[in-house]
Amino acid sequence: MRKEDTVKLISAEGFEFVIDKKAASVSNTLRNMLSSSGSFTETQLGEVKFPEISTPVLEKVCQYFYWSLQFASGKETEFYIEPEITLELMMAANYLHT
Amino acid sequence: MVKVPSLLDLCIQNAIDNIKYLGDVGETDLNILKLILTHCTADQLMHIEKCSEGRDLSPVTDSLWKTFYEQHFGTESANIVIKRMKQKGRYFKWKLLYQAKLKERDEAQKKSVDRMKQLYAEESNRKQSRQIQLCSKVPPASKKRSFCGGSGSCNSLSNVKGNLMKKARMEYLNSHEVKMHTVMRRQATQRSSTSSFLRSTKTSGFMGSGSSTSNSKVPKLPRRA
Repeated sequence: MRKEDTVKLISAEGFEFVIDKKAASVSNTLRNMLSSSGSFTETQLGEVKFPEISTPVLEKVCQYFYWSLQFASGKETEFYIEPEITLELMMAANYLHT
Repeated sequence: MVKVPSLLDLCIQNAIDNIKYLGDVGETDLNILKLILTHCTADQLMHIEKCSEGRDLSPVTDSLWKTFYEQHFGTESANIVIKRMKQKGRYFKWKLLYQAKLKERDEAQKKSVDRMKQLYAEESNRKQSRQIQLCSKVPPASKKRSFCGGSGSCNSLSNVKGNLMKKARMEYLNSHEVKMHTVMRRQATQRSSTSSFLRSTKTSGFMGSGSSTSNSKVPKLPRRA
């Protein structure tokens, strides 16, 4: 993966998740942040910090991005969510407009 | 273009599926909460509100509680409550109204259960008191006793018994069968005593009880007194 095609998502604990820009674009918020027309710091650095989202939740979000791309391409599988993180994940999803 | 379910929708659905495990809802957005909590039962909602202390969920839950009230206690009762609140100008949250009504109903139920228990206990006591009970004393016999000595029931009791037995005994002894047996017994003893007499003439009396009949061959001997 080329650096230009990836973004880094950083959790509250400082964990860094490197994902495809295409995957990140599943989220409207991220897409806007990272689009070349935007002038956010994120666009330049290619990394987004999420001080309110914990590591396991952010990891799940990234998993969702990839699952979403898979689903859109025809491979319709089930996306399992652990009950313990459901509420937090829900809030993150709401924030990210995912 | 395939419609991919959003992460938010997936989470909401997941929350509804696992609603029985929900406790403290933290800072979850009220709009989202509304979508989830409409799927709760009254008990589940009560639990969630209790766990999420520090956060007033009533903007979302008040209408839910009103629905529960109507479901469990009837729309009529709910309307009466609404009327009363309007009249007095005092408004209460439906959650409180629901809890109060529930308590009232439980107390009424408990009262009626206790009353039932009491009635059952009384009935069983009544039945027991009418049961036959064993006494230590023999109850007095009927008419026959009333002639012979009404005074001193204990004495007359034993007298009557004694008299009855005597009478019975006499009757028995005088019966033909017994007489036959007695005769046979005497004859048998006489024969045995005769043989012993012949053996030893020096013996004065004969063994055995006195006899009324005697053999002609045997000399009459003085009877033993």
